[in-house]
Amino acid sequence: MVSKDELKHLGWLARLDLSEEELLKYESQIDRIIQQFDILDRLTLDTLEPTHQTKSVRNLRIDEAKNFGENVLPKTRNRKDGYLKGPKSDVKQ
Amino acid sequence: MSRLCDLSLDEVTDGIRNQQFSAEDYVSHILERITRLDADIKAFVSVNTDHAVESARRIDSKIRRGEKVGYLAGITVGIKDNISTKGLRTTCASRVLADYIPPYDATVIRKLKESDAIVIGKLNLDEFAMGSTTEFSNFGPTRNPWNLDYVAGGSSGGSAAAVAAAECTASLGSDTGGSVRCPASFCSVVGFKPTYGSVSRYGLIAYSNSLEQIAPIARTVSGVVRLMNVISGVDPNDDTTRTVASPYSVESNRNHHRIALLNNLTVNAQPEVSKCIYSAMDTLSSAGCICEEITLDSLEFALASYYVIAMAEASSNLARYDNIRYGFDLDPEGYEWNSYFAKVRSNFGEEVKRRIIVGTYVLSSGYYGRYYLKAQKVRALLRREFKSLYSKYDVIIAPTMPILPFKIGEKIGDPIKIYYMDIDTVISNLTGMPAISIPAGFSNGLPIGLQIMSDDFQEQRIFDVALLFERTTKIQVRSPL
Amino acid sequence: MISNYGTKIGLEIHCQLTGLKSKLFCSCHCNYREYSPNENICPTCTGLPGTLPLLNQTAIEKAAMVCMAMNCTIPNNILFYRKNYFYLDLPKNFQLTQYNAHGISSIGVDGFLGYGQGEARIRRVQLEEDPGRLSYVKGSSGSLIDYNRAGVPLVEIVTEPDFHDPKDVRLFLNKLASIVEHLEVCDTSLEGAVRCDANISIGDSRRVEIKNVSSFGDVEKALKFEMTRQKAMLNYEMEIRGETRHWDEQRKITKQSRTKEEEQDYRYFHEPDIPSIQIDEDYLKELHSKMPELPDERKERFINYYKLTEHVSKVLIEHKDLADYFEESAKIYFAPKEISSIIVTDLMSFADDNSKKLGSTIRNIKMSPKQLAEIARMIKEGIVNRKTAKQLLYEAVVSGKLITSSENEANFRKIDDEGLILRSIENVFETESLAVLDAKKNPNVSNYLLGKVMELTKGRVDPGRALSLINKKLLEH
Repeated sequence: MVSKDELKHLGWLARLDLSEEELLKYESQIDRIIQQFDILDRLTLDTLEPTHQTKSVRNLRIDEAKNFGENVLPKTRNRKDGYLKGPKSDVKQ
Repeated sequence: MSRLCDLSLDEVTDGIRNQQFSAEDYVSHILERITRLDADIKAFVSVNTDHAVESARRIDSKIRRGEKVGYLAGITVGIKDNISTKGLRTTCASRVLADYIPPYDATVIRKLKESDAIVIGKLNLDEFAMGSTTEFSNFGPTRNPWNLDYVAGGSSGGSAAAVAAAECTASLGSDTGGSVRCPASFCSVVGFKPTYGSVSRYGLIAYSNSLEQIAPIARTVSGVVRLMNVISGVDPNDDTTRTVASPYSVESNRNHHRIALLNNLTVNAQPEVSKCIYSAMDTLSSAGCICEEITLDSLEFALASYYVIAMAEASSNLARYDNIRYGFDLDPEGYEWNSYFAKVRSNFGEEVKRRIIVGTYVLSSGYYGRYYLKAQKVRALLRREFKSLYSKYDVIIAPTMPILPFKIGEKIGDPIKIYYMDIDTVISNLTGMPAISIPAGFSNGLPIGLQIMSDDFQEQRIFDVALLFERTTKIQVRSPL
Repeated sequence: MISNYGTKIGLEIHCQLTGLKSKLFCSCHCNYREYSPNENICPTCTGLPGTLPLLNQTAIEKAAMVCMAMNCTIPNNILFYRKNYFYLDLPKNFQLTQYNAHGISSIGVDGFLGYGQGEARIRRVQLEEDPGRLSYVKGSSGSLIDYNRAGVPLVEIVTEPDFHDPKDVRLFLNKLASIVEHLEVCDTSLEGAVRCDANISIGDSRRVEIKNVSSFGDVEKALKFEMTRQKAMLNYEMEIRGETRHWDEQRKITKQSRTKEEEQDYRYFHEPDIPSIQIDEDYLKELHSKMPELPDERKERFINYYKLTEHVSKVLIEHKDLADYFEESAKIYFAPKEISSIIVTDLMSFADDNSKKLGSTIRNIKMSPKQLAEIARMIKEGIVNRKTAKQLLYEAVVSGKLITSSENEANFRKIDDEGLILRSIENVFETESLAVLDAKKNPNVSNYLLGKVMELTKGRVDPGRALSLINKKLLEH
């Protein structure tokens, strides 16, 4: 069971403000979704490892610097002296 | 008298190159249709009118001067609005990207432009490609051109509906768990998901990186093949791309393909769908193919594995939308950072939030082995089983969708019902192998798609069978509108 | 009283790979320090939608060299993971790093590194990206974000809790700094190029993490402070909480952190956009043959080839720049003992005056290795005495000018001519007639006269010789 408190914690981890209404709706829905996933418990697959795409280190990007050459953040609204303005951090100022 | 808009991709490029009609005539005709039809269909979220007309004139003048034009000269391509287009708003149908303008082109866009294709506009989708009906769009649902009360499928609903309604020659969508094949099936067009790594994802706004590919849609198989010849191949901007066996051919001369029908998927399908797929198998048999039925038990784990992986990756991919670099107007001054992030991120739509929460859950401490790791192992298992099947068969066929298109709003309240629609398509995303959906017939005026799958980088086998089927059945490719 | 026995210290060191041209996953400049805010950015390092990480080949190479220098095992396949957490300086709100909890993915594991008399086991070496930087304006409640640093490659080196004394930590860190300098992967003198977190537990007490120590020099201080704090608590039978503390650079104390670590859940998973990177044996062999000389090897060479003492060699190799300066100088004029002694004694004394950092001193002085070689030659050939040499040295260090032209040289040349020395003594005797009278009664006063002679000759006479001449003259008087 995914409890309302657990849901709130997930909302915190994902930085999503969830309204009371949303919490109520999601509580049952998310529980049902996760129940669908429990079908995976029927498999053990202990001897199987996930497969990954591979690439040789020899084919990776060569270390060369170049400028992007265009405005990367043309529409950013909150700027000051080249910096982006952000909200308050939790480091003591 | 055939209309310009109904011409297939090959007919358009031939017609323009041979000066039967100008690119400008063609583009104007298409733009006129968009103006006339799209208020009802709602496939487009942005129309690139000025650029389109300008590009068409440039192509025409090149042709008049006898200069060489590109492989796709003059065709109009609609682009799903989760593919970055430089200088052209790219929204993912989300409030959090409502006026985001990318400073760069996706690799596929660059390649299309280099081959003289015309980017005609941006197409509707479920927010961040999360959905199977295009109802979860901040712009509202796209309607099915075959019946405007019905869903177009999703998440690339705009891409399929626009091609079906001949509002563009072809389009690009993205296919994470069937997002191109589903609407292609529902709208009776051809949609192809390439082998993972065939097409660069650079510029595709990620939903689930390990599953998705940019995927072309056209009204004919050859249209899709021609698009693949342009967009596929190794890209230095995407380390997951691989060398492909292109150019792909549209000249199939083999009829004796070894085909297996995956009957787990017909058993679970709506009877009308199942019937249509069996009749497709009969058609292929009559055309000379060797067909048999097979069952694969491990498929019952596919849907859960798909959603575990997709939601997990999504929860991380969408973390970056914190309104600092782009987004809507909300001055951060005075906010504590956590509350600012949580406030701006609550602007995601209902389905996106649902997936972020579930994705966060399955990755959270203590659950990784039970869900995410297990799902990854299922992928390895499925790959192993399909590899072994492809030693015996050239292709595997199945329904694309287990059900017929349904009315808008019918399933929106039940997320699990919507997830179950993807049961036949997620398989190829999990294995990374290619799959196509082609029109297979209609039931009560509603389209049904046939899915053809094959092994890694065996796109040609799929195209050969699809071309054979298309030639044999001659299903109407004219727009219903 | 509780002894050091039972104290366990482990380290987590971050070194920027400052020797690279580009960032870890994009082509922006690795040297971000020269740019105005947000001028060294691209769609990838700002986390724009649709961008993909493109791993830097040389970053793998440099990190693998660090691993080799620390005797780590390098796996045949490495992976990158996403460490998911939100913060203002993280453009993607996850950090690309490596992670070994789901199987070995990091570039190096299970190494060891000797230092002084000890040895520490290296748990892992991993590659990861640096976040951007935050700053603040006075009077405003917001933060200012600069992404220029975002995506700069870091190697993280994690040791086992093998240290018992903060002094050993200092020795280890010095050794490590010298290694990364010799490998040319990290210029440790750059601000923020090396950072160190430490964890410490005393006896059975809970582990305390110390974060935010931005210079190697402060790590020892932070650990000493923390040990004193914890021992005091134990003496009063107070319980030590397992917690994270921050080092306050200004006040030189550790402070309790305000962030709630227990709420962190990083939800690590493999980054799908970066394939599993294959590092084959041949590649490693090639790399091994390309490895620059490491400090330990260099020290042996200094002892064997230049015949330097163990101590002098050790001091020199502790900073690559110092050892390089020495070798360059010794190449021009082969007087290794003279040159090394000037560096470790005389230059060291200049360094002690200000920063106490010999490594950065050598970089900031204006004197060239050639000039040092010239001074050594003049000493060796008896052209100048040590005192004059030291003046020349000081002048060269400060101004970059070495007075060697013949006329100036004459001013600094040792006075050998006995007539000249006697003339100076006579001059002094004339001006200091009272002292001369005193000296006849009290032999100690002759030293005063010697001082005057040295003053007059600017130290260019041999003091022993001058004193005997003075004494002779006093008898004659």
